[in-house]
Amino acid sequence: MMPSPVSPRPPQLAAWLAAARLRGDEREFQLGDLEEEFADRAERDGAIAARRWYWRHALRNLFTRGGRGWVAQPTPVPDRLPPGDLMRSFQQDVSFAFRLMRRAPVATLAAIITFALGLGANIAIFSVAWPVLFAPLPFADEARLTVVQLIFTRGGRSFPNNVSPGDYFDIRKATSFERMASYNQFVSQVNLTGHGEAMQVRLNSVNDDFFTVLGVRPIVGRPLQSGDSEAPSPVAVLKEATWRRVFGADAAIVGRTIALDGDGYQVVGVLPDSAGLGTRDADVWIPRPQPPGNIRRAYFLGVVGRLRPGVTVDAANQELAAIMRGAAQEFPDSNRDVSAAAFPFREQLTGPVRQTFLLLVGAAACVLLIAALNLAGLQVARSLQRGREMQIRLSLGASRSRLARLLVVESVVLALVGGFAGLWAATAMIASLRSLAPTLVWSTSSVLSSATVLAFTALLSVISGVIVGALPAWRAARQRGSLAVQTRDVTLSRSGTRARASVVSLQVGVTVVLLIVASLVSISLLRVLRVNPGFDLSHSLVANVSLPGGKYSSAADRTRFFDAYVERLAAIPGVEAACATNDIPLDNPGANMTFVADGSTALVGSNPKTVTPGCFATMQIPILQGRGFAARELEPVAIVSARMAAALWPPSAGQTPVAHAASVVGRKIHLGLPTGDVLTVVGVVPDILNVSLESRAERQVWLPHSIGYFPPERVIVRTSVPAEMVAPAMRSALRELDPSLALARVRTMDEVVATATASRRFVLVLFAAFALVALVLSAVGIYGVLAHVVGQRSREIGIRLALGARRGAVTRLIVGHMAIAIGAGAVAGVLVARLLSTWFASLLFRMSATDATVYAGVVGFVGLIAVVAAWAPTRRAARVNPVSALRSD
Amino acid sequence: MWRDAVYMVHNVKHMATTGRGPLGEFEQLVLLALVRLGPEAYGATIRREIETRTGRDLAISAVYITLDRLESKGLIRSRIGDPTPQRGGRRRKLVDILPAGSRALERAYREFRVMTDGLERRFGQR
Repeated sequence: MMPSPVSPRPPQLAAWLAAARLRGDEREFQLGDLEEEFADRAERDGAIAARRWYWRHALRNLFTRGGRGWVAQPTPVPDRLPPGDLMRSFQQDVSFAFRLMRRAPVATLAAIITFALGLGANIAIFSVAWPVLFAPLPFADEARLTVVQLIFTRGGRSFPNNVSPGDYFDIRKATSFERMASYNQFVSQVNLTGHGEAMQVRLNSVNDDFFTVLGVRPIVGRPLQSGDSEAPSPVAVLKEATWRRVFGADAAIVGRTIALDGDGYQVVGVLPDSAGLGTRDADVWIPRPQPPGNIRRAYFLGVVGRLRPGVTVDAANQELAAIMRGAAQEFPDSNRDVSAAAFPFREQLTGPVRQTFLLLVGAAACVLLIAALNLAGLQVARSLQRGREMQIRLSLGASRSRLARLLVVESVVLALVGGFAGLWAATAMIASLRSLAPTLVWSTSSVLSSATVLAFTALLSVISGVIVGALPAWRAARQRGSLAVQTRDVTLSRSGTRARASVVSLQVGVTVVLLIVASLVSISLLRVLRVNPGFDLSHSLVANVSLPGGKYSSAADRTRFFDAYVERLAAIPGVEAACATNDIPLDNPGANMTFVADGSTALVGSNPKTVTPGCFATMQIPILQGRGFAARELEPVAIVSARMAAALWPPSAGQTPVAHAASVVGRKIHLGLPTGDVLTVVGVVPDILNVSLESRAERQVWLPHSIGYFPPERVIVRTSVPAEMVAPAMRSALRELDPSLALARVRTMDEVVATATASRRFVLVLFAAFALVALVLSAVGIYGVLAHVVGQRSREIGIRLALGARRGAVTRLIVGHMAIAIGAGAVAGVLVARLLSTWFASLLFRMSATDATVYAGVVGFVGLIAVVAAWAPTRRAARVNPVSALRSD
Repeated sequence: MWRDAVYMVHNVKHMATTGRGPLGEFEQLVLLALVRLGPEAYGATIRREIETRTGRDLAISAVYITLDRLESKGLIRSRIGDPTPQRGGRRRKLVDILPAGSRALERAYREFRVMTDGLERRFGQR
């Protein structure tokens, strides 16, 4: 193997473990030796082999007694210690635990793996959920930060909505707030030119003091401030990512002028990427004067407010409600049944994922519960086997508390080893979980420190170790110290049987709940993937083409380029259709724009889509009424989606959708504001799912690329051959047309859909993994309990058989209890899942959280697994030989 | 009972290792490695020397425990070496064999040879 250019480092966690039992110089010498050999091996056998070697030796160091005091000066182990020796006796307990572990390697390994599974699940979810739920937001004093929304009540249902300028004017009077600012909910795409390649950036306009309200600290320069909107020369602030990408993180940007769609703006500052968190994110922000207070019914503002110190959200809400009641009297037309409310900023931001994460944390805790039950069972079984040893110790004068402590220490040591094994497995998972996790910008910037994860691992391990060890310890403490240890109960005690049965019930119940949720979540994902988005882009490839501003500054240049490129794309063998557009559905489409029906003042928000004429054919979107776009449109025209048409011109009562669509063709709309450019509607198309497969279709306005708004920067090809095959031809076609251009982000549409459904997959992967682990652990638990019962009762079975009982009856006796326990557990699981269904319903998509088929299927499946797990012990019970069973012992 | 047994085993070991009694088997291996390595003998090289020659997979701490024991018996002495970058800037503990160590080793070897004399055909193959 080639030696890697950078010499690899030994794994940190392993080094930490190796050092754990070493002191002073000893630690330095031995770690040095390990690292030296690691370096040699890395060079000779490669980094992976060296790392494996290092881990093995680190763990051996942990398990081999460290030297001091053990061999050279053996100390008799007194069972009662003077108080000062508590620490030393604890060390003895730990060493003793390690010795016990080495004496029963299989049982120890089983316990460690079980701990590792249970704890690993929790460590993984903790590392991901903690930053999302609790990491501080990048804003000053976030507790006082709120989002203010209007609350509409329509048909008995309340829902939050954007704010209109008129309402904002009223809301601003609330004295509960120190400051309030608004931003535009519709982000526009503009061309940033004059610095290398022209690029499209998202532009948002905000109040002067927007960033002051949020408390954003600029990276360079200053944020926007009061008076900026009235400054003689327009100003702008950039986001860090834009600054780095376009201006190479040049701090001298402050004071320079940039061109946005040809207009000059002086840059006054650069803000961190998190500045747009929780509001409409943008690449560039410009200040906007206070919007006129007389516009109502145009709801396009987002509002953030900073509460005065000491004012609660409730108090602010009472004031807002009072203000809105006044507005409802003054403007009954627009403000009837409209109120307003403030929501804590964090709640607004993490609300959607909070519940998901809490559910995942709960699922992980369930896995740990099942693991702990298995382990407690295992420990009890082992303590029974060691009963004689315990009795001897008691007879020799060991105190019960000391024995109990020994058992607890043993289980804590097991838990710690298992916990760190789980941490090791979890660290591999955490990275991929983070990449899958719903995009929450600030959580990635505040990576959970490994020290926190280590502390959590240690804490959780110790707690679960104590809990698991407590049961056998309690039993040991109760044991009578007589030497009559040879007598062995022929049957099991009633309470012992009942305890085992309830453990099995609990495990089965929890597993059923987890499996039900996992099944529902996976079915939901399948349903999402089966949603008809209104377009068909299977067998399609999408790619980005950005045109530099200098060479392609005019709309005519860009139109000519895309016409030529699309023509070449369509000529590639294997390509059925090709077109160019401004954004790809489901791929974070950014553009938003308001339109106004001619003769109206109501702004209607919409997603503008600029397309070359072939796009409807490429995306297989039918034209419902009117016509599609011609190769060269002479007049400014537009095609609207059905919902957009209904929003612009509400259909009259009884009008059929077809008749309504037909009535729309030929009407006129204005771009942006009532004074904006006029477009004539020439056709109506169905709605398509643009932002997400799971939400309602947005309103869309389709524009021909030849009129120059929202210029295309993506191309789509539909292929008859596997889509990836045409990528090279697409590249060479572009090179032939203009060698200076590059084709970027070439992806199949399937990949785009996969990205769009990533957060659903994230939840599914975790739930499925947790449910699977729970299932395996429960099966092991059922097997273990039954095997134990059969082993303990083999003498009883032998006696029964010798007295003439039939084998079937005996088997039924043994297994009957367990079958009842499993059945009861399954029923309880179903009931609990039903109770929780309102809670996890938010994870599901267009399906009932109490779907009977799924519930029945899961119960059947768990029953099947239980039968498989119970098979071997049951057979053993049926095959007990009465003679040997009675002879034994 | 069991713990008493453990205690007894410890005491036996204790007696065997603190006096100038015969060398333990692993002690012999470590001393032989010291002779072979000369001035460059320390934990890692000793471990590797034994591992490559005998094929035994040793824990580094086992080597250190034995070195401590040999040092307390007065058979070897240790000195602190300089740190190297390969060791992550850590120092190493170099060990030298003392005359008493050489004598103990010679004695062990002599006894071994005497006892195996004539048995070469039985053990010498492979």
